Amino acid sequence: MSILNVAWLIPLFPFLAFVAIALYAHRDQVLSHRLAVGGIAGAFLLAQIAFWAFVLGHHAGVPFQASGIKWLFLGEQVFMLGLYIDPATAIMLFMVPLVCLMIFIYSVGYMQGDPRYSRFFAYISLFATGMLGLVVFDNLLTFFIFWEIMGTCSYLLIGFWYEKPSAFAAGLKAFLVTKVGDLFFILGLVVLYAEVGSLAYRDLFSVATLQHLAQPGYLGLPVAPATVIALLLFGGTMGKSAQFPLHTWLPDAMEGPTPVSALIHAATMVSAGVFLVVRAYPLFTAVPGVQLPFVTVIGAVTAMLGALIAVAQDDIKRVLAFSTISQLGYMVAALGTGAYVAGVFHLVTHAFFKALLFLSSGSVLHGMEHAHHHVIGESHTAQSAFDPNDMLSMGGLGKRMPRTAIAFLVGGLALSGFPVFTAGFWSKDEILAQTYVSNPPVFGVLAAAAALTAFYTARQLSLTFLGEPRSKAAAHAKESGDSMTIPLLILAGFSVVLGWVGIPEHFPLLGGLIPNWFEHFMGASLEMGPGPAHEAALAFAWQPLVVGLSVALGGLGAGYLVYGRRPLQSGEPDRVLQAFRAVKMGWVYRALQQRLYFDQLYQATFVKGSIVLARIASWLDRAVIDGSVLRAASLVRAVSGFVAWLDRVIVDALVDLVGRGARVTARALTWFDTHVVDSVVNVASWLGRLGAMASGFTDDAVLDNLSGGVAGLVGNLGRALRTVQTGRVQDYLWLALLAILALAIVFFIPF
Amino acid sequence: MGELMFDPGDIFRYLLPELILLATALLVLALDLLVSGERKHRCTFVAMAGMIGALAASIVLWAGTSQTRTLAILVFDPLALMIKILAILAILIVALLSDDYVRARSSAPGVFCALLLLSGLVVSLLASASDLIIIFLAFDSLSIIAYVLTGFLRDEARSIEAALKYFLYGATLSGVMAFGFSWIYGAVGSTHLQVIATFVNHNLTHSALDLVGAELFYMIMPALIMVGAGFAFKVAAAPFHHWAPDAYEGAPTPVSAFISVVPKIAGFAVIARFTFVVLPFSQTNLGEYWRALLIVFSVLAMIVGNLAALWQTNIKRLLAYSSISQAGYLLIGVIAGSRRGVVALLLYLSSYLLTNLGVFAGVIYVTRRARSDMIEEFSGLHQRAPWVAFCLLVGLLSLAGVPPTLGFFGKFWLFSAIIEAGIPWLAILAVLATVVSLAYYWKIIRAMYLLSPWSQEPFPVSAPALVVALVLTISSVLLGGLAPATLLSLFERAAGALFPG
Repeated sequence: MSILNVAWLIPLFPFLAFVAIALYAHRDQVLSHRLAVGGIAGAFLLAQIAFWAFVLGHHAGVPFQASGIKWLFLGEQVFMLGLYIDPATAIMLFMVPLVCLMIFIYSVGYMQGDPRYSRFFAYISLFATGMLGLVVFDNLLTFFIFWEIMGTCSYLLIGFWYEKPSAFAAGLKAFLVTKVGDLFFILGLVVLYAEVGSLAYRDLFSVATLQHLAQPGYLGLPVAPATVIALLLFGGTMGKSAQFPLHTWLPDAMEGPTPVSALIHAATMVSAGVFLVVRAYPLFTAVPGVQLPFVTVIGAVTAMLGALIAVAQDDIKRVLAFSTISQLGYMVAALGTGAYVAGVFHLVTHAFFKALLFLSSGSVLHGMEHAHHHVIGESHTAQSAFDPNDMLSMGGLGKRMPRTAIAFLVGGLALSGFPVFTAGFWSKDEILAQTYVSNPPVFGVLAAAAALTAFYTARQLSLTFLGEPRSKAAAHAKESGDSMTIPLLILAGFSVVLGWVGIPEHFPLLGGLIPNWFEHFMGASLEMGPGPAHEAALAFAWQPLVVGLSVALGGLGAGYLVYGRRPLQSGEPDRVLQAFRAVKMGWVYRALQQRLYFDQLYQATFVKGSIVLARIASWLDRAVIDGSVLRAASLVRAVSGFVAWLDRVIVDALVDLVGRGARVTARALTWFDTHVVDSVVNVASWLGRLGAMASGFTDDAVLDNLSGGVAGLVGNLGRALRTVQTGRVQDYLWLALLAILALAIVFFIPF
Repeated sequence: MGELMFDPGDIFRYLLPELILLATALLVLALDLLVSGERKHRCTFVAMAGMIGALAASIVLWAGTSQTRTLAILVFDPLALMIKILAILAILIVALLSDDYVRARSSAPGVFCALLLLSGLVVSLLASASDLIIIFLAFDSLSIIAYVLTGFLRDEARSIEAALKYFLYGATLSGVMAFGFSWIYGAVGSTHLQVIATFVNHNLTHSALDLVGAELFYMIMPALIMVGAGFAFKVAAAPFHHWAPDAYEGAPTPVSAFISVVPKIAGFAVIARFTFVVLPFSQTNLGEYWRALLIVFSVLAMIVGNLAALWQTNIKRLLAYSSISQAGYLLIGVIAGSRRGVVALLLYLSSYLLTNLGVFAGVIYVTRRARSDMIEEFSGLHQRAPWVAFCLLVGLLSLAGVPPTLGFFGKFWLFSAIIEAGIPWLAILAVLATVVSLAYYWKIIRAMYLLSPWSQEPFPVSAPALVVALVLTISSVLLGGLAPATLLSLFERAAGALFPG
């Protein structure tokens, strides 16, 4: 019995927290957040145990599998539920509960005072359950189920403040857009099941299966099933990880509370999409085909697009949202070009620094909002148009919120790949180095995106923290409480340290000081796997490092020069906008600001299209179907008129006849009554009176004195029985169920 | 068993009573919509004409049927047709005794009559039912009609409350019954009674109780308890009787009469067929356990019904407990498990039907002016309406089983059947229960004849239909008591369907 079996329990803890809060604790706010934090902390501890057990045990790339529970019976087929822990799972087990725990603790402070406080903790617990369950179990069916649990939770949490129409719409949008991807995902599962007859990883990733899937000629087409399946599964990734062109939901997801944004953007939802590619990587590499190039192109386009749009956003969280999209593009492009280890590495480091950035921005917003209420309270004037997210109305917050500023700075530097110190540098450098060898054009795109990333990060830092406050709220903002800032500092620590586990061994000066543990650890699974042999660590090349260094530093420097050195004044338009205007190209900036009109495009085509279809259907319903119904109705009315006539003329006659018959009978009976019955009755009543007198004794003894002897016992029993008849139907039902139970017991005692 | 194929003409012929009832119900519903005002009440006559037609059709069919005919899930044998005759007779009498009451208090007499007709239809189906699914569906339809009728006076809180209680209790017990059916289906793989019977007799006989048999036994035993609970609810047998007093008290009085009789006819038709087709006693262990379960229901019903009735002051509650105890007596006919037992069951069922409806007719007659259901209302009835008092006297004596009424012969045959079946202690218990029952029936008789009236005003005779119902039922009780042999020969023939030879 391996200690790794504790992994069974990891998703259970947050789930129990969810159940307990939903059913029991929802009236008690303190108990709710204790349950939620306790649940994720339990999961965190178990996950740590599992992680270290896996790392220290001599598993060296061999996945740990435990298959125990017969779960679903489909005819002859039995679905087994089991665990599957390989290096990728282990890394996720290290990252997910840790980041979740930080976010949960942070939420305790952030959500203080929300009317649906307990519900929030219930939802995020379920969300964490979804992610953890997705990671640990051993087949794609549970993967999909937990994936959908997360989808549902994202809908609930993004639309958490559903009184706000925009939040409600954002929740719906996230749900529907990711559903488009999920449709492909489930189609992929169907094809996979039809081809293999199983969805368990151990069956899917066996050599025989992969060879079978690599045979071309699927449905008579010159493609292998593996290609089709990989492309369909990647559809799921595009939805969940917000890849172009399904990226539009992610920026809107900012409408949810900030911890939710952090949860979605860092530890869970979007990671799940990339993790799907990581998990199903053997399928992607089983046969050379269009799937990997497709993945690469989508990733590169997304990386570039996200970075471009992020430059022109003024909303602090929207910038981060587009940066997430762009970074996810990095990971996907890395996986597409075969940089498996680098992709996973970036997934992990990004989770930490993006969670850090979101939580820091949440801290900023928290400060801005509270200060805003404070200001309003003083001046008694409603500033309805105030938007706390707008970076143009911030400025100078560095002095007022030092801890937040430091945390944000660390996260920002990691995001832009600031050399050597930050984790982001190492993971991004690895991707750049690998793409430089395998796919130079993609390398170019990614490098340009990296430059833009550094630029908009510098812009964001400058606008938020440097210069003078550009609004009253910014001038009065205060630092957030400990439950918010401490998780920030912990995450900041990881955003720096985590990079050191993956320093390439041939790196100048630093290489080899610390062994490249990550490469060995992750790479082992590729060597063991049936896929193409993992290439030995790349020989060091100067060019990508120089490019990487220069784009990061250059971007940051340029950003500082434009925004930081001479901070923006209140009311002054954005500098880049000024520059574009100067060359009469303001429309470019506006297009970026409008997110390249993707939303408008989808609105005009898909949404409007659906509405038009609905109108046509409605018209058909009214004109054709209702029309025929109306015609039928008038027919019925005509028939009923006829029947009414029938009633007047015929039925009445019939009824009169019957009535007359009854009257005659009654008259006859009356005669009978007066002439015959009366005399009979007189005799009978006489008899009756005689009998009555005779039984006067019984009467007195039994009925009036139901008190002594056997009669008394009988009477008292009757009285006791009567008290059972309370008149409450609940009691009757209890009695009925008790009776059934008693009968069951009595009749089973003989056995 | 002679099973013959049906041709379409036969289907029409054998379903004629049901078709007449259905067509009349729809016609009455339509008339109720189309006709307005005073003339609405003529719907009742149309309904009665339909019932008489259906009754005539059933009698003709009965006379012409000597073999068992099976149409998919329906069986047409003399027993089924006899039950149909009884049921249609019962709703005809209910229609008669409710006419005046409904006319006075409701604006939708057509709906009332249509519901009565439909209840006749579903009881007819139950009489023929030989499949668990149709048993469940028809039983539930009957219950739903009963709920609606109980709450028929929508403006009276009492009526609504009673309907709700009845509904909640009934819905739960129907669920329990359906659950039991589903277990049986799970064990056997069929819902047809014949198939279940074959299965049970092949696998669960005394000798062949091997491992598989034991497993099945454990599945079917709890199922039988649940099914038994459902049946006991339908016939208001203890310990599933709690709904009855509240429902009887709150329902409009003609409806109390209806729910005291019609569900019992249906319930006993089904219990008899289920018992003797699926679980013939002393052939299988299961049969013996089923019999033990029925004995438990019977004994509890007789004890609880009779003892609780002693203390009632409300005439409708009293009759409710009385009808609970009558369910106990009726069960004896099934427990006997013989041809004689089935004859006794039918005899007592018909006696109970006529007597109870007659007594309710008298109660309606008295309480429709009094607007109170207390037993005091009957004080000195003898002086104010002597022949009504006489009818009630005969009815109550028949319920108590005093000769020379039909009720006496019914009890006599029941007790002799159970003694013949070798369970004399049950007969002794039933006789003791009968003695106790005399006490509370006597309470009413005493009030009518010995106490002085609270008013000297005579009752107006303005309800011909009610009078017809009263006279018809009570005279039948007397006539049947004087010449039971004719009835017995009819019932012998019906019982032959289950116990040939």
